[in-house]
Amino acid sequence: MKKLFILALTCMLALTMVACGGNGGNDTPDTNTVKSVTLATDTDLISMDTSLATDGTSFIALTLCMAGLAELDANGTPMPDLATWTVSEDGLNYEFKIREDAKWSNGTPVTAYDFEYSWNRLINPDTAADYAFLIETCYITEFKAVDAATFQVTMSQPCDFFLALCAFPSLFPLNQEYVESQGDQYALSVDNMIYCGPYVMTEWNQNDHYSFAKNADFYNAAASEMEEITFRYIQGQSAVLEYESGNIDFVKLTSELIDTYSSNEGFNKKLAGYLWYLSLYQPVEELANENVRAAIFYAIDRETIADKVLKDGSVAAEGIVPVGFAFHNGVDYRETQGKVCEFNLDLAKEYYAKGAAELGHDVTLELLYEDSDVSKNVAAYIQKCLQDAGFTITMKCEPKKTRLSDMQNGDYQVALHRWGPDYADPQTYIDLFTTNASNNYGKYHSEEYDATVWEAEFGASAANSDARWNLMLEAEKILLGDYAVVPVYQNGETNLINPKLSGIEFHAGGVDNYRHMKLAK
Amino acid sequence: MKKYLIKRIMISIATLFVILLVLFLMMELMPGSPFNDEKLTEAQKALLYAKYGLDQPLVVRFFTYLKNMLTGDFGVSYAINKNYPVALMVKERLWLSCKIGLLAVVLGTIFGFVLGTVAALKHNSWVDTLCSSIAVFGVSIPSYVFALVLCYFVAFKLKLFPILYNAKKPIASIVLPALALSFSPTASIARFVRSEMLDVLNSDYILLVKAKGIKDYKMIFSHVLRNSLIPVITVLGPIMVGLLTGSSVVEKVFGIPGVGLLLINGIQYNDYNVTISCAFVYSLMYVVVMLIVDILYGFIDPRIRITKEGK
Repeated sequence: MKKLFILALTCMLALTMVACGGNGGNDTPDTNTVKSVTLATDTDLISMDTSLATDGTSFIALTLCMAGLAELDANGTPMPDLATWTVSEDGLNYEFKIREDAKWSNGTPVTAYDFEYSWNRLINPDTAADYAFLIETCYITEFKAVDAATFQVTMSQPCDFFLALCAFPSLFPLNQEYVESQGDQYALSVDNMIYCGPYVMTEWNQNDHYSFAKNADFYNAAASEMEEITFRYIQGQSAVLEYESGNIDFVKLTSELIDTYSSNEGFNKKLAGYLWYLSLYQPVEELANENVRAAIFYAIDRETIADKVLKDGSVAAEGIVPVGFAFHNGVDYRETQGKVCEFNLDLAKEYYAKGAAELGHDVTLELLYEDSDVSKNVAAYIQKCLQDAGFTITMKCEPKKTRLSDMQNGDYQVALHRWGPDYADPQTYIDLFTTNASNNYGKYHSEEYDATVWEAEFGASAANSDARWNLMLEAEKILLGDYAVVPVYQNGETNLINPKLSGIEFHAGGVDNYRHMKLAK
Repeated sequence: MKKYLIKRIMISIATLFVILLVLFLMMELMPGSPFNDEKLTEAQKALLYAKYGLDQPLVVRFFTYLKNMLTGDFGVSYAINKNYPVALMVKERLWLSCKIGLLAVVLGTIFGFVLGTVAALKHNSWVDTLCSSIAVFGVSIPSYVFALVLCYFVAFKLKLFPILYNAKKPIASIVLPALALSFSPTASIARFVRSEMLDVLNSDYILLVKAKGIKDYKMIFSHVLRNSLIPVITVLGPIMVGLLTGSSVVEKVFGIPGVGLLLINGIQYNDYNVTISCAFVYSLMYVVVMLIVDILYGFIDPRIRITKEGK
């Protein structure tokens, strides 16, 4: 009898399992046709409001379903998108002609007024947009819609990177009537959005996935082959298992997975435009000493950090401006400048001895870094490098927002910090260290540097592209000659990309473009 | 009884108020701010503070928040999903977390009962040892280890279920997470059932039942199980709350857009409203479930009810 009872229980158990698994049996993954693609994103979508978006993931999504005056081609060169343009000879006046067939998803035409409204919204203090500064950075003194088809922009100086910025989502148009009709709700869900790009957003399921479908009314719809694009917010080992199972076509590898998958057919490394550097807080007595700063500068073994610690495609920093990021007449800034940062332990020890002698005591410094795995590993290695040179280094780990807070308040000594560029020009980096710049956390002050940067941006050389470029090169030499900051490495990214998937255009100095993806059968 | 009820409810409300106050103070003490971005100027930051009312004194903010909350307005997100109402964010995720938690409780209870019953009936045999060992494993191995094992073998190798949560397969997607979470309740319930059942099996009334010649299965279902059930129900409450609130790691492994992940993100991004709301919702669930358990306790066990009424 007892046996019967156990049998009954076992049957119950089995039934429960079957009931639970009922949906699992026929749940084989959808096979991807050529017209639909699923990609993993390791950060969630934060904002679909062009004025308020600040992160790469949101910008990529906005570039899919919105469009601007220009679009970056595969090489990062700005090409006409919703408008064509003419530039005055002095480079101060741009006249954009909006395409007649540019339309919003509600059928109304995209006009010059939409750009005027969007740009005004961007700089309106009430919007409190992070990227409000872009208008001023481009020396724009006036922008206006002359008529529905004509948008005029006037600058006080020529700006070499302005057209590339026209492909940046913050400067995309907004449909005033629609935006205002939605009030607070604008762009918070697919029900409160309007589009003017090659795709429309069909789903936005926070913390899970978001999808796009092709916008057949887009003037250049023919250039986008993919009918459906889905981004899933998944990460780590389980996301890679999804890739291996063929459920997704693109996934970013975290550093601990790189060795395991380095021989995978889809393994792909690319360089990003982010640069990590050590910010040195100069009001600290020890860091005011140039020899001490020089010792730090030479002590960092950047190659080992990039190749052995990170292994994710990152490269040793050669200067404060990244490689493959800013070009003049087709020549990379770094190619002209060459390698400024150097690892030389003997020299570091020599400088350390000199600095310590001048200070009259051994040097102990605190290294501030954020609590991501990557930063922890890099900081640990930097500690070793600096201690090899003679320093005593104590460590302080904080969440990113807290680290930034401490840096802004001058409550740190040495900090591992990152800058993400806003446009593909050395200026986005060089600007950071002028005396009054808000990002000059270390309080570096050099009249020579300030004067050089001023001359490049506002002086007589500003209008001369060659002269300006040379001054940008000069500025980096001054900055690093003073050992004001210590560049460490340029961010790399390692992805697994389905070998049949092509057409993702990566831009170190701009927003990656996913409009032209193709997936072979 | 009525008096007791009212007292318990008042204590619960007071507890929630204190929790909210503590949460608010903790946010205040947390270093950094949601608007700490290297690209924002001081003036912009001041504007953002004013826009979201963060420039007001703490007391004013607390009571404004309290007032809004009573009307269902939990504020908006500052960083995770800019300007999106937090109440909606939590609502969308809460049901999913609850579904997984409930399924885990159901599975855990069933497995636990089976294991416990079998162990008790086969007391001191190898079956008992096996069941007890499974129970010990279940208690001592954290749920995310089970989660990873299930993820790799059941989902990736056998392809029975989705590896990660997939909104298009909502039911199949929650089975593995619920299974992973159910190991620990299975173990606790199994151990509980086993010891309760042994007590009952050794009691005089079971001896009487046996003496009357009632069939084994009838004896087990009508007399043994029923009497062992009562104490088990009382531990289900805390187990359920533990599952509903403690599943963030499993949510992470399976990429489930639940409240646990939202809370972690809220803390990382200094998104005050999100952090407070999630923590508060957890507290609310805890307090409510404990209240219900306390009240039910009286109803379920007649002895308790009678003693209380006697007083």
